[in-house]
Amino acid sequence: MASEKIVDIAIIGAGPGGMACAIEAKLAGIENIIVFDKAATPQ
Amino acid sequence: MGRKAEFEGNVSFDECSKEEYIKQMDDLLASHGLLEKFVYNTEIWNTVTGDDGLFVIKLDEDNIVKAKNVIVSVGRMGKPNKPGYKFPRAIRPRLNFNLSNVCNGEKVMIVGGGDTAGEYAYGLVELEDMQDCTVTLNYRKPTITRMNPMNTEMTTKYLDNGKLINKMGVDVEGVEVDGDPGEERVKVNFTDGTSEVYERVVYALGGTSPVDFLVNSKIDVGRWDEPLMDEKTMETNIKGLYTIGDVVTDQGSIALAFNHASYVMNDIVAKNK
Repeated sequence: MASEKIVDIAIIGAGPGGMACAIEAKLAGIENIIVFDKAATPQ
Repeated sequence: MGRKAEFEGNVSFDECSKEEYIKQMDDLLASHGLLEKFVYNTEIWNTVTGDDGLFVIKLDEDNIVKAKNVIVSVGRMGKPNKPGYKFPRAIRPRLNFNLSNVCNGEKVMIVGGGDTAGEYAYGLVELEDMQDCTVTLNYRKPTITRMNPMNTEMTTKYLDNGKLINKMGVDVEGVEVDGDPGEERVKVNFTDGTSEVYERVVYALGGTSPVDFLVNSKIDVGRWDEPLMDEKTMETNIKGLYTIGDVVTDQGSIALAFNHASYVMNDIVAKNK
């Protein structure tokens, strides 16, 4: 089944910058985010 | 690890080993309830702005994510692999490793059989402002074997309908100059004895950089394929689309990546006030 999700911020890459963005967003009160990474596990 | 750094945002880490750093970050993400926001095993090829002004991120044929803002935090710029034969000086500007120099109306050959080659080939066919290009895909093997299912499907579709010219199953032996000085083109000599003249040849032989993503997403890039953006906000030429970290710097600095994240979030918050 097709799905469509809407977020405030999509972060592409879960390296240091991506992780920091997620945390900064949370601290700024923005919780509707998603982070994508091609790796199978955190690097 | 182990380099002194000044952190300008809310995120920092203590100097430590890589393993300890990962543990620190995991703990930090967990303490903020963020681990569930991370989706692994998911490679994103591009992001485009939809009719509703939101960025569209296609996960597969059926599933998409729409976002008000996108932050690109992918890895370091890499050096693309090059073929073994020499590039004559006069046609070097026409022998490229990404699509950023392609002009509408050119006769272009993409070389390679991986995902990047496929994305370049069908991407060029699909780009509205490149409709007058003639695009050929050259791969030394006769069939596509190395692309992911989505790229295989897209590439095959355009090979089958003739919008993408099939020059597979033959290797390139070398390239030479064709034409008078100032009007040089690339004469490609194939291993089957045939030759063809192209205005541009784009190699996608692996080892490529995130420039694929940048170009596919229509982010302006500089001479060295670095994304062009506002250094205070990290926003690119596309409003709401940011690039941070190693994709914009060759310093490999975690502190810089953290600081970039801070700049981006300050900008997003300021725009939402």
